Amino acid sequence: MVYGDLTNKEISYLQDALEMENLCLTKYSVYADQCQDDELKDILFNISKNKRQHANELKQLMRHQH
Amino acid sequence: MGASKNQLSDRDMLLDLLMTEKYMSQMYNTALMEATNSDVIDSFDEMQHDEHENARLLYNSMHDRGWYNAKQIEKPVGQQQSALYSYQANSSYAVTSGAKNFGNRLGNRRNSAMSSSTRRYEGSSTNTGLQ
Repeated sequence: MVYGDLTNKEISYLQDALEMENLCLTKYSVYADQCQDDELKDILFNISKNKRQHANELKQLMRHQH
Repeated sequence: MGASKNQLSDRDMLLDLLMTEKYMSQMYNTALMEATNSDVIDSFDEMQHDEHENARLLYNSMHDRGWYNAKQIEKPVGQQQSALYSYQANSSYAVTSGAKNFGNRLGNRRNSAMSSSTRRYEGSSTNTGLQ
């Protein structure tokens, strides 16, 4: 992968963040599924969508630097 | 909450997510302070802001259900004030007051020096200093 003008630190933070966001996405989805409270289910599901956005944005940042 | 043995309770799930959001927020803070690319900085900034909002949602959900009781500070009863409320601004800790006293002390010393040997300092350029 070519990261262009990003610094080593930025690349490593982007990778760490992507890993964390993906873990979060999984957690929020699993917990939303297992949750007993319907209101909480909605809240967790909505946040999981936010996590997916973050993961996509981080991937874009790494892809678009040439 | 009624969770089975191998499942987290709703409360434990929220607590776990809240801890995770705290960690994420700190991670983004460090990352954006050390980044140089403005696109990267903007993204980290927005994501950190989202984590704040997520954490707020999680906290409020826990608080509404009585799962997270942040203790309020004890209010003073009547005249009796708690030690925390009895603190007042003390001029000895204020930097400006300290500087003023320091200046006065210098001034006093100079004045006494002036009065003891006025003639020596008269018209001297060393007198046109601070104060």
